[in-house]
Amino acid sequence: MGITLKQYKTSNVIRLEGAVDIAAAAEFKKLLLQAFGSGKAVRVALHGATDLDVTAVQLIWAARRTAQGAGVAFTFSGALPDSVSSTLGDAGLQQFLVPLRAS
Amino acid sequence: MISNADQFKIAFREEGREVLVDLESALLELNVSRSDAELVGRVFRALHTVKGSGAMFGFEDLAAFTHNLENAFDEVRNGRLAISSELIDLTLSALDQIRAMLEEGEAGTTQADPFACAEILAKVRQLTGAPEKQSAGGRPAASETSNEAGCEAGSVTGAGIDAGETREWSIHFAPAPEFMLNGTNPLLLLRELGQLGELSARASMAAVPPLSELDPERCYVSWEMVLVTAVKRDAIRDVFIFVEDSCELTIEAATSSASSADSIPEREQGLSAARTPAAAVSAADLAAKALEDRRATSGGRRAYDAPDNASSLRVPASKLDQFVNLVGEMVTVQARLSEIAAQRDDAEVAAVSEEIERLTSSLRENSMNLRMMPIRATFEKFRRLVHDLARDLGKNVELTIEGADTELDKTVIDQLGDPLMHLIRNSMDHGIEPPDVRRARGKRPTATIQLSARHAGASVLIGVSDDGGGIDADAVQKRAVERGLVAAGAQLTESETFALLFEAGFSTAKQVTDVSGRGVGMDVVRQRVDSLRGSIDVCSKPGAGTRVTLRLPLTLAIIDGLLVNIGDACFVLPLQNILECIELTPADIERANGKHMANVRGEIVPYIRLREHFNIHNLRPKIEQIMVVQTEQGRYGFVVDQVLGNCQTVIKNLGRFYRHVQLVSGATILGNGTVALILDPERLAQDAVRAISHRARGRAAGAALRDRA
Repeated sequence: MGITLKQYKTSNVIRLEGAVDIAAAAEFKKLLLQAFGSGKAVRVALHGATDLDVTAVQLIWAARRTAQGAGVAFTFSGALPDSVSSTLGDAGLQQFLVPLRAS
Repeated sequence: MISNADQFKIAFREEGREVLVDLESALLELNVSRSDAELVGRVFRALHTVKGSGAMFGFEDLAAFTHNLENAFDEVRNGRLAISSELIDLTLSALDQIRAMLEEGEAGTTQADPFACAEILAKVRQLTGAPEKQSAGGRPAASETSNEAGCEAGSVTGAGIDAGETREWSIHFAPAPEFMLNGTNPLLLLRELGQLGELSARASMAAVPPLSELDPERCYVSWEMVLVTAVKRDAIRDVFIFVEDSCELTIEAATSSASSADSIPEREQGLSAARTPAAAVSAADLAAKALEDRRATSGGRRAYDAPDNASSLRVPASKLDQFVNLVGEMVTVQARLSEIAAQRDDAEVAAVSEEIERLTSSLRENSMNLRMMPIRATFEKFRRLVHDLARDLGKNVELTIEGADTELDKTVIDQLGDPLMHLIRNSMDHGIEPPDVRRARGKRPTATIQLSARHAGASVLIGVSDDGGGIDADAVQKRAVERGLVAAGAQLTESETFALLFEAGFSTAKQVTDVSGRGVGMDVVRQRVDSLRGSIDVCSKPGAGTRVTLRLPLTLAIIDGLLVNIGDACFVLPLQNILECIELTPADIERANGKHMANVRGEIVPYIRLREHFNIHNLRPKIEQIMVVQTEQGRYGFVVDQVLGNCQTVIKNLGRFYRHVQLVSGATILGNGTVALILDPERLAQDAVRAISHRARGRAAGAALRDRA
């Protein structure tokens, strides 16, 4: 459970599980840095996440910028539960969960 | 070490206590003015704040329990439920439980009673006609009610709190970086805000650093929001009440009035556009850039660090005490420096010493001001006591408060609770008559107790007055004779008679009740006032009522005094009591025929030679000094050898060993390191009067014996 990183030939996948909040933030950051370290595309699998707080969204936004700088793709798979999407949407945060295709 | 989350829980507790005090006082006012919509709004808003903030800081039980009360007052607001004594009493009982939940885990506090909670909720639901919905043990399950709170609170929307004209508010909310470290979730705040009306939020990520530099537990996001709501600014601010110190918050009325979101100008288009992801990022970034510019000040400091944004700070009392103690030490050292400077013929040292003296004096004044706080909260908490006691005693009593903004030292305020409680209980039990008796005496059936505070020089006067039956001075004297406190047939003045009320175990009550009658309460009042170096004055008119006035010093830490000496011993007399100093020459003594009387511009003032009073035996100077002081016993002179000058005196406790020494209120360390005792003029005068009357009685008894012989 928690956040895991799976490294494939062409991409790295970070799988989110359960509540991705401040308690998980340090681990999430570590895995994101690890994922980008290989220079491959990074995909975040959202379907296991039951909650995303502000720390998670700002990490994802910072990761997107890193991907942009490195010229690698940063994408998402799966969907967040409706209640989480709605909370993030109401707080104006949903717009920052935007994929970045490889340049 | 206390974690951040615990620190914020502590902060929530402190703020929560204040909200509950306000809530209690609003409820009690509402009990009197039942149709006051403003008061209903105040109660509702306070409950809403406690619920919302409680949930945010992890007090789920408290939030869930409060939610039910909030619903009840929502019904009241909407005119579906009338205010009744039952609802007020239930809500007051519920407040006690909320208070217990708030304090849970704190040492020495009682836990909330789940059965009492269940009973209260059942009764509240009975009143509102709401369906049963609770878990075993009385407290609704947290998850169930959090959800319930979330959903149902939504129904509050629109109708709003303190509903008025629909307006558009522009809200800027930027949490401090550490905001989330204590468990605070900004999304919950936004959700709560959304319950107040129609909310459009735009988040900014402009402050988010590159991934490698990002501290994952810090909050870098800020929000610009538009809220269209009928609630007032205070209700919006209340959402942030517990986090105001850790965020940057501005709430501005965007336009004068808006009936719907359609009338929101271009800004709304931007917000709508922001919901389209691709366009959103750039639009949001542009806005965020502007926002960041606004937040940054010179030197990169964020605006919430700016002093004008932090209008007040919450500081633990212990830190303040420590600070005042240090200032006290500083005053002592400064006195020593002044003395050394005076001994040396060095202009430079003298100049520095004078400058330090000026600064220390200013530091002392400022530090004393830090400890000053209004007495309002202490007074307000007695509304509940009066309400409950009136109900128990079957009397109608209203409490009025005057001078609640009067400020005095926190240490004094902390010790005032018990004496005031005993005085009020005494008034309500013995002073105030039952309604039928009042009617028969031509009085209003509803009696009044007034708590008042006002400054009088370096003292503050706290008054407790009632319009009850007054004190029966004859009964007091009779009881005093029975107890052997005064001789039968003794002629006592009014103040001497009323002073007997404060003797330990003294009571004129025919029967002991739950409220009073054991003769303990007034003794507690006297002891506490004595320990505060204060005095008590009682004024009573039969049939009209009683007024008890406590005269207390404004501060207990440092006083201005006059340094005097008798032989080698130094003493300090508090400056506030001293009227003037005059010389006592051998000629004056001769003119008075050796009697201890001085003629002060035609007025005869009795004096006490402290040298004799304290048994100091060394040589008396030819010319002595009389310090004329004003005491409750009248004007007295205290004769000393020399007046050495003014001094700022840090009061040191004499310690437990000397706690029974009555004539001295403390000690201080002088600049040269010696100790000077601080004299208590009131006690000295009382002691002298007692000694004189004792001698007079002795002389009279001697004369009587001689006559008989």
